[in-house]
Amino acid sequence: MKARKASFIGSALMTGLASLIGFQSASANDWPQWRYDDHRSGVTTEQLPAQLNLQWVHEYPAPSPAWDNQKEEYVYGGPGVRQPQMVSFDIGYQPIVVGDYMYFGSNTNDCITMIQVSTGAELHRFYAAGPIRFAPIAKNGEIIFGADDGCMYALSATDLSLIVKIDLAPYGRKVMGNDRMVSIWPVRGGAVMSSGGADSNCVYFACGLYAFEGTGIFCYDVTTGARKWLNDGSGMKYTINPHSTADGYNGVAPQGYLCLADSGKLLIPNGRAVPACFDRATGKMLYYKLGQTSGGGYGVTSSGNYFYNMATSCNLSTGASSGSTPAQYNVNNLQITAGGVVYAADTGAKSVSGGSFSATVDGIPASIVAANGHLIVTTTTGKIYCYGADSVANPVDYPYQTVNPPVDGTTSFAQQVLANCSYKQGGKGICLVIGLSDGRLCEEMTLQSDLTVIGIDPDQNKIDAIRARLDKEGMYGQKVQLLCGDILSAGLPPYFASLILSENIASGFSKASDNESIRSYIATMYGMLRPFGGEMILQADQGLFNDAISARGLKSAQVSMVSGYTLCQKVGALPGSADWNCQMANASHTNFVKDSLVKGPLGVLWFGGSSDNINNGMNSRHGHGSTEQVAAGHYYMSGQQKLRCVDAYTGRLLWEHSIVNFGEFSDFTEHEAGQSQLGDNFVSLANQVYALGDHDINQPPKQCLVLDPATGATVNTITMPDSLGGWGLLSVIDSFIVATSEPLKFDKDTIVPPGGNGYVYWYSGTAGPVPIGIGGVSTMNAAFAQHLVVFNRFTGAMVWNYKAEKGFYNLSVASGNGKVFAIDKTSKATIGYIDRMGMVDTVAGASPKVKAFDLHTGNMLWADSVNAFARYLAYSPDYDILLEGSRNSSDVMTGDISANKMIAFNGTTGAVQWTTTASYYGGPYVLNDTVIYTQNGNSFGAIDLKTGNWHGMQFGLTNKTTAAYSYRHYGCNYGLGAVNLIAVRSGSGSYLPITPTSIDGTINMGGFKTGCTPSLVPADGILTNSEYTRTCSCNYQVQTSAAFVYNPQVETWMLNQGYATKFATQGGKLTNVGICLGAPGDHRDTTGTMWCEYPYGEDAAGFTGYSIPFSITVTPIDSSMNYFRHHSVSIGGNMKFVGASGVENASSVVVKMIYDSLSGTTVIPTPVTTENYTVSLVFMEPNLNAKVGDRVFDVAVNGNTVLSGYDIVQDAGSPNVSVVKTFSGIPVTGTLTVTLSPKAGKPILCGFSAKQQM
Amino acid sequence: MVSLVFGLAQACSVPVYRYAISQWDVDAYRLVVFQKAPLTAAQNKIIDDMKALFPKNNGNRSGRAQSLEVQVMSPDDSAAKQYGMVIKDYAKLPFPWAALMFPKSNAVPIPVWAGVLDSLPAKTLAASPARETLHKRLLAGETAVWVFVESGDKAKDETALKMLDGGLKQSRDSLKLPVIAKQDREQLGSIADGLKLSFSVVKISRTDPKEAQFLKMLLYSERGLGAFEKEPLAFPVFGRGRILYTLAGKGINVKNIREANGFLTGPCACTIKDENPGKDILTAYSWDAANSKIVVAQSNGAPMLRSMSSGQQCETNKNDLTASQQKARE
Repeated sequence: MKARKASFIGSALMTGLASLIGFQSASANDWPQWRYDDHRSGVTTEQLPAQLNLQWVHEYPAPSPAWDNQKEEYVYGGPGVRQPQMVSFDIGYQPIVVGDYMYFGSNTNDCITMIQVSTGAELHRFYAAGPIRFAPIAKNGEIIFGADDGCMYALSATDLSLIVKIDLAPYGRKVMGNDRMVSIWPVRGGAVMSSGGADSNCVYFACGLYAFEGTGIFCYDVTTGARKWLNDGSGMKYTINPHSTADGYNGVAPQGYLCLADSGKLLIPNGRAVPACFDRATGKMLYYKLGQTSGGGYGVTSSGNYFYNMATSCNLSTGASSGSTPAQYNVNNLQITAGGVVYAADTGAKSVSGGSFSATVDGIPASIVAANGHLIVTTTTGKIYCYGADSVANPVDYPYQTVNPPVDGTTSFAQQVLANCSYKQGGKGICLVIGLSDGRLCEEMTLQSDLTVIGIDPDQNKIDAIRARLDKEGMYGQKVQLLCGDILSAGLPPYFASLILSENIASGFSKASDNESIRSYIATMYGMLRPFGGEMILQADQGLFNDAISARGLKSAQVSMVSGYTLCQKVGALPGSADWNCQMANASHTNFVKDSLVKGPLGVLWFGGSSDNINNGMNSRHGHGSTEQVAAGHYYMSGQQKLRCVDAYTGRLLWEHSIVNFGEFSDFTEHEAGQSQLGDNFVSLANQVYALGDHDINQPPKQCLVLDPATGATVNTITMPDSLGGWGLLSVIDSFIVATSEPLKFDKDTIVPPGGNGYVYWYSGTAGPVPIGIGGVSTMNAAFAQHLVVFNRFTGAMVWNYKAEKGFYNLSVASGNGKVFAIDKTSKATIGYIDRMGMVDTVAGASPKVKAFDLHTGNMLWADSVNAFARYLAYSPDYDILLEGSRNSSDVMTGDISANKMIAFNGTTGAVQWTTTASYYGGPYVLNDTVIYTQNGNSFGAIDLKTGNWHGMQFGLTNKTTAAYSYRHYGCNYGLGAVNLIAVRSGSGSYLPITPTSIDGTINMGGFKTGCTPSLVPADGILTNSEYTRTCSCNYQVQTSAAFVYNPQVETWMLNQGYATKFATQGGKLTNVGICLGAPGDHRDTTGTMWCEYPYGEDAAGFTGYSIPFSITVTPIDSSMNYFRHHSVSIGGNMKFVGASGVENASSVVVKMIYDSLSGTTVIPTPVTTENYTVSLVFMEPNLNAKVGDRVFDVAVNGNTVLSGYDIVQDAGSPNVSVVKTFSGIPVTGTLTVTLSPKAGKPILCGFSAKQQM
Repeated sequence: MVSLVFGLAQACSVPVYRYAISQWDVDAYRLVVFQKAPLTAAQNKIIDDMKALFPKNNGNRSGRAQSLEVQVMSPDDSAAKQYGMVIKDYAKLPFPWAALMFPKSNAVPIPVWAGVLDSLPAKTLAASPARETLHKRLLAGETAVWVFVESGDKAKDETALKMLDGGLKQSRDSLKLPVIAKQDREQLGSIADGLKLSFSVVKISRTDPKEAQFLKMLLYSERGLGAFEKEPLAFPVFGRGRILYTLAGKGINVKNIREANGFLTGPCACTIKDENPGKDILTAYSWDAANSKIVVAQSNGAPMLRSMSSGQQCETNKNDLTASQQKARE
């Protein structure tokens, strides 16, 4: 494992940053960084000519912003309620000017371009390995910038030659991000350099986008090339999220232009969240008020004791918001001041004016720069306008021009490849080309299909030449992206490639020296192939593939020969994965899939797909549309007027099918029951997708569409017979569609808003009146249906139907084992509403019943008129047990019974197997074999399916059995289960690990908010989060769709609420525990030991109830004792998640191993006896400059010296590497004491575990 | 066995209507003034005069000083985005202009009234004859005052009104007030004194200009009432001017009237206001009047109830929280 120094410095060429190349230094008339200076004032002393004339116009490729919805404000809540552009940092080119030269980066073709301002002539380009989204800075004759490839570059300002490239990311892992292949730590913190003062030689960067993946804040001294400091420990801590009372782990997620402020402060914008404040000298975080919902956005300016975060002003000392931002400080009001003259563009207007100057431009202005006698304006369309003093009769026009690619043998070869591969998917997907010759195959693949191409080759010169040529053809960047490296170490993600080809297999396999190496190449590529048909077509011996498949156990691989090439296909689903076909996973409503691949730690697979990143056109969050569904590598979600299909492995939009009023009943911004009451309006299977068809407002659809999952085309329609009304619930099992029909209607006419003044009471995006939901008429209308109807789903023929006595709750219809179950009952709320509004109750009469039918014949198998109390059924096909229960939520129809009862029926006979009542028994249940995970509000419990008793699980700290329960923290949705976890919203995206013997605490994936409808779906081997917070103004850092995949490198920090209670009631004796000093949370290691954080309570609100349930005392040697923390991916060694943090200069750590007090809980007394323990101590030297002998100390455990003269650097081999020292037979009598005695320097201890020897 | 069953929300044997008038502060309506320049002294006086119409809550249990909140902002402020629909609809109004918005908990995005600030009809917004009657009768100890909104169809209205009168009489004759539990009497003191079954009717016309704003509050108290514009409506009002829900047309019958009255006179199963049905009316009257026949509990000595945030709280189950966590959240 590399040391952190090696990871971050990465190159001895860093000293190149200090080189001066004779280029002129920045002057007062230059514009050397974004918004001119380090405070981002946008104010320069440059006095522009009073009369400004157009000198030239350059057109470049239209920018490709990370967040493509940011080109203009977008509707988020209702008519006229618009979301400001909070992450619009790259909607247009952002130039800087030094002398007569202008420099700007591109997010379309990934290059820095240099232009001579006086003539407009382009002089040079330099290509990075990913989009460049932020303005560069000019310092000491160098152009310095960062890119989405995770690297910082320094170029010569004279010719853009590379001086140095520094990989800021601690590891080379890449993901699909905003539809490009980027580093998991993209440089999204736009660089800032000090304009003067003590740090005048410093530049500051920030990278990393998702807090839970870790982020880094850097300070480099450009005169020495040395990194002054790195803060990589601010990524996750327990805090309040940007939603009131929503606590969880979250942290800094840099996105926006860094800003320096007075009093030595550095401000880091956090995308849509508020900025964090750091100490410029040390890198220490000063504050981060993430829960502050006022403010947020990519732009920060500062002045005096205030900083201005887009529209909100804040106190610099505290970070507290203090009002609105004056116009000149609001970066969204495109405005600068030059020589006292204000030049500005009106929001959304295509013009710029200032003083006596005004001009109309093509596109919305994205940047205004004043430097050296020129005013430069860029637009969202890619235009750059230069105005100056000279009156130019014919300003030079530099149009964007491309050259045609050649037609040669590769053209026909590409045709042949496409003809021989089975890849279709509407032509969309990613083609990976391994080993390049001239790049022709890359361009032909994009020319002849809608594939985008990622090429990789170890030869940088070759890459550079091909990039330049493809750029001239207008293809580089968005269509073809080239990476320099070897496929074995490139860090490319799994599953992203639909097609893998090679131009030059020898170059692609450059490190293949033997069969084992070849196997590694093939296995690596196979891992990158998309399941469900991804293909490799390579000019390689078929036997090599067969050998690799056999030797490496590559599952689902099929190999054949096609036209002399070996074709290897990844057939079907990932072994061990499963689809999530409908709202409750399947027609049985198990709310659980047998997918064992989705498990923690989970890391990002992709984020921000090619479609609308915040899912414009989808239903708003509180309307509770159907849960996203995942089948055969596609995920589906319902919109207002459409069904959307996205590639689950890359986030690429595959197709949309327009359906009139498709999301009518869940298209609300207020809390509504929506589809969680109505049941599904679509069902997704691997080979067919079923969706209810067009319909009028407030009318049920008459048709069910059968769609082709590959294209979205309608291949069949199934019409509900007129006698049965329109469709209600839709579900699919085996060869059948099980539906309800003729939803009960209680309203009179179309709802007309009171007053008749033209207002639409609930905004839906559709013209005219709209239905109303929970507590109102329309939700009730469709919540029950009069018929149960079964169709043959292949022929469309109706098999049977049954008329309800009262009405079938849609969500009660569950099927399995050839049976259909439903509750025939009308809700109290509905009856009450009908009654008091004077309507006719058409369903009065018969008593409520739970009913079971034969799926094939419709014969009623049994009915229970005594126990029909609820509205929700779940069925275990494996054990033939039917569960009846309810959900306790404010987002379901009012007036129904709360979740305080559960009944289990024998599915075949209807006999009640058990009944139980407790406030804990809520649904939707997660039916995991014989365990029912219940959920009631924020609580999870586990019930034995066969008995109804509490399920006993092992409590790790004491190795005793306890009732299984756990908690999440805040969220509208409910948990969805897979074999290894329950995914749920808990302040942010989260999951609770489960095993047959435990349910753990909450692990947050901080940085984004999940939907009110469950939007974290575990299926097909990944956890997909289709963005479902549309219309939400909560300023979480990132608002986009994403997917996550198992990755053991990812840090996980857990909140174990309830541990204190469990501990106290289990005898209160620690038998297996770890202490993680300075860590932000708890962590369960791979051996099952739970490492508990200390000190705890980093949360801002003082949630002491979450603390570890036993006493720890850390005694300092002196006042210099401090805790430190780094991200575990940036260190080497063993037990890295423990070694990444620790305490320096403590004399002892004492753990009380017997627990004896807990307010409000009866504590079982525990006898104090002496037991032998195995104790493992973890150390890591955090000082990168530390040498052997700098830090030496003795370590004793319970008085026995176990390490004498211990030197971490000597033992680990270098700083930044953690080591574990294990000692057995340590006698413990109620207390464990680790004593540290310094011999040289200050002792360090990262943590330790203690396991009782049995 | 670990105790996993947490306590339910506090219950109380005091009847709902009495608990409500004693303990539940009125949800604040919001007067939002949109300006582009600092307000003049005269314009500030208009606002101050409006505020002066609303007495302070003595109990101050919710932390709100009045049942009217005043906000002054630029439409460009981030705080104004919640009023985007109103700002767009009234974009042609000259600045400064104002909008009287429903309480947040009502989630009604349109205003009760909107217009230029100089023409703010403060007294009309704050009071009306029907609301004044409501206030007097409720403070005099009436169980509920039923507001009858005429449909305009004379036959329908007469039938419904007759039914309402009959229903109220039947309620008076048949309902029984709960026996006050000892612990409630100890905790809540004399608020349980002087309980009585007393109902009356206030009738308003849909075309009465003096009640236009009040009518709007009624018609937006429940979703979908626009569908019943040709039907007579009856709203049981209790507490400090809280509308329980609506009866419409043939729904105004003895059974439903009794059911509504039965809820109001029954024990307060949940003492947390936001977990009970109803929407508040804006009234510029004191509900803490010392000389009323209702003894209103003051904050000193009376138990402080947990206040539930409205609007934001999705599904947090307070019963899942430990006492310390609950305290931290509050």
